Amino acid sequence: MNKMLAALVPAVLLAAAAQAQSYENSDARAKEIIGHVLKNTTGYDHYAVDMQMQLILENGKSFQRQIRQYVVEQPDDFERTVGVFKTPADVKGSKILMYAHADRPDDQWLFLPALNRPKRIANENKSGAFFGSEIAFEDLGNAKLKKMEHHLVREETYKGRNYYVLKSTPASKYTSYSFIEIYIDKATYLDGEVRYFDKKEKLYKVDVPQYRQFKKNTIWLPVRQDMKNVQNGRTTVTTWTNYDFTYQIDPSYLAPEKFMKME
Amino acid sequence: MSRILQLLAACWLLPAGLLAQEAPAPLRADSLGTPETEPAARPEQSAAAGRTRRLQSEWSGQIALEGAWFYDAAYFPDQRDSYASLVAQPKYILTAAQAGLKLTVRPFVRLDAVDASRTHADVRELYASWSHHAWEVNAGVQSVAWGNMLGPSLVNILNQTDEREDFTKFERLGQPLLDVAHVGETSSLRLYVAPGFRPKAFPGVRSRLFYFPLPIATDQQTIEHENRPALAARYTQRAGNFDLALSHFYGTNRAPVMHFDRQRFLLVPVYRTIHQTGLETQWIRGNLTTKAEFTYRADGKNYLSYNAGLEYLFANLSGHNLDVLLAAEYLRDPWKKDNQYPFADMFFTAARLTLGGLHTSELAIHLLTNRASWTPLLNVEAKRHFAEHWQATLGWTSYVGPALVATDALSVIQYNSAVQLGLRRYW
Repeated sequence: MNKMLAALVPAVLLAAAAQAQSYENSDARAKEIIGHVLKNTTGYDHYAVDMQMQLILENGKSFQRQIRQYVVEQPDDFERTVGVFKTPADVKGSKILMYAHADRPDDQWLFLPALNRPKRIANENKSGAFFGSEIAFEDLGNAKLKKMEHHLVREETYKGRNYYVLKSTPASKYTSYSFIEIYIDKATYLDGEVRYFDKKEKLYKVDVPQYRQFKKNTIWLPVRQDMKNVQNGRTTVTTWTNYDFTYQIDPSYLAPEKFMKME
Repeated sequence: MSRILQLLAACWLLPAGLLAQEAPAPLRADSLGTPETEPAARPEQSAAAGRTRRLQSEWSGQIALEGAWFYDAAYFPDQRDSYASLVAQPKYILTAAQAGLKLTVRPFVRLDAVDASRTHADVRELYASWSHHAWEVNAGVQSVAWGNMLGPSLVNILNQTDEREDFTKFERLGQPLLDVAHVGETSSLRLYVAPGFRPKAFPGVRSRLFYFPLPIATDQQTIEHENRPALAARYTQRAGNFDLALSHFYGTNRAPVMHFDRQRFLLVPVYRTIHQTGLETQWIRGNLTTKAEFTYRADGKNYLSYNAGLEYLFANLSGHNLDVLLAAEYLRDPWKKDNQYPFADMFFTAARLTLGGLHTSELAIHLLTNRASWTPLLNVEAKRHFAEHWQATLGWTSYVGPALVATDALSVIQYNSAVQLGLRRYW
């Protein structure tokens, strides 16, 4: 009996140690995977694009929103975006300036034609809806990936493709998610599906992004995103068209004193 | 009246016609269940670069029907107890973005069927803009707003106030300006020349928007240096969450000193040339904004005025896209006090509730309180956007304090409680 125990104890300890090491490795691997995703989707330098959102209600009724976007990469940080609202008419002419930071909450300025001056938004809470859609401010862009803790939880074959499944937790205390499952395609290192879980750990939203290669196939950028809120039955379909990498955006237009001059 | 109706119908049809061209083909929602997991590896769109047109023009704007009913007995005899207006504000923009050129045109028209003294037209904006790297030049009629306060601002001096609009809306007239700016990464400097001084145009004594205790003789008004352009400069600096602006203005004060004509029992506006130095600060931490404005004004005497406040945003309350903004500001302006203007020493408090979702609804409660007498003026406004292009508003403005003596600067305002209705169409 004692002999058996003597043999078992080290075995158990060894197994536990191996388990701990594999978890440690999995976190390192998750970090590596995210690094790969970010590398895949950055390096565009700058572009202009037309963003269209179709907001589909549970009863099938739908609404259109159009935003002209100008995005400029920030080598030491992340990216700066000017969004010019085109439709619907009641928000036409409104403009938003966003500084997506790699390591701290984003900065935002809003220009409303009625106010006729930019207003700096004091809001660390990015859980609110973007423009009435099912996309929250905290879901926008890829800088969010830098502000989450990622764990590689499993590898899975889903709809005929092989994925790494990451369980990611946003660092912000204001987030509306307990965690997010990100399905990263093993072949492309792009997210093929993102599942958002609410604070009660119930499935909240499912996002299916689609990417395409640009700039002589050196970079992937989103062309479509289907964000379905499974709790209220509403879906927001976003498409990005007319990517233009030749459009020159002077850095001064990305200053709060001047972004409202963009059209 | 029938002519107004005809005009109204014409204005209504115009935006509807302009609308017919938009609405892109809707995306199909049925593909949601079967996402295309294989990313389409099509080659880069070579045509994309050409899609950004060289010259772009765009029309937008709004047209509104506004009405108000003043339910208290008036201060002046024969004053109207209502107004009913048609307000149009179209906007046209022509851009040659890659050349850094832009033309902005924004006229403003108000036609009032009841209170004719409110009927007026103005050019809010008509200017050309040229931008090259960090340099920018704007020439023409512009609307420039300085300052960050939610309530009345001390530093905001370039544009004259539009007295024929509701004073709680802080509307301004267009101002001819030539400005040159250098906009850097975190700082900017802008120099202005403002030719053409625009004196205040007041509504008639029979209008309920008139809040002076005596009629104003604008035909007797004097302007110290009428033909001398005003000069101004503003420097802004941003350091992380801290914003700072320093400005100086030299020219005709937009607010006149009111001289009392004892013989005719009238007020005569006198516009004097002043120097005004302004300082604005804003500091953001989390959801809290702390801001302040200071002005040092030389107008015979030297006046130091200040305005300081806090703003806090409760965002996405309980996950229902309800934003609540609370603000409190305190303003003290000895110049206004010396010249018998209302709200020279006041608190401005506001609560704004915005419900996001598809069609934004907003409820704004503003309270302007005179500190000396603790007399509050309440303004409540509910707004609802609907059917993509429409906005309905219901408002109530009321003096809610005890009766005031005739010498109080708010003595007229206390009689002008009103219910307002508005219907706005955007295009």
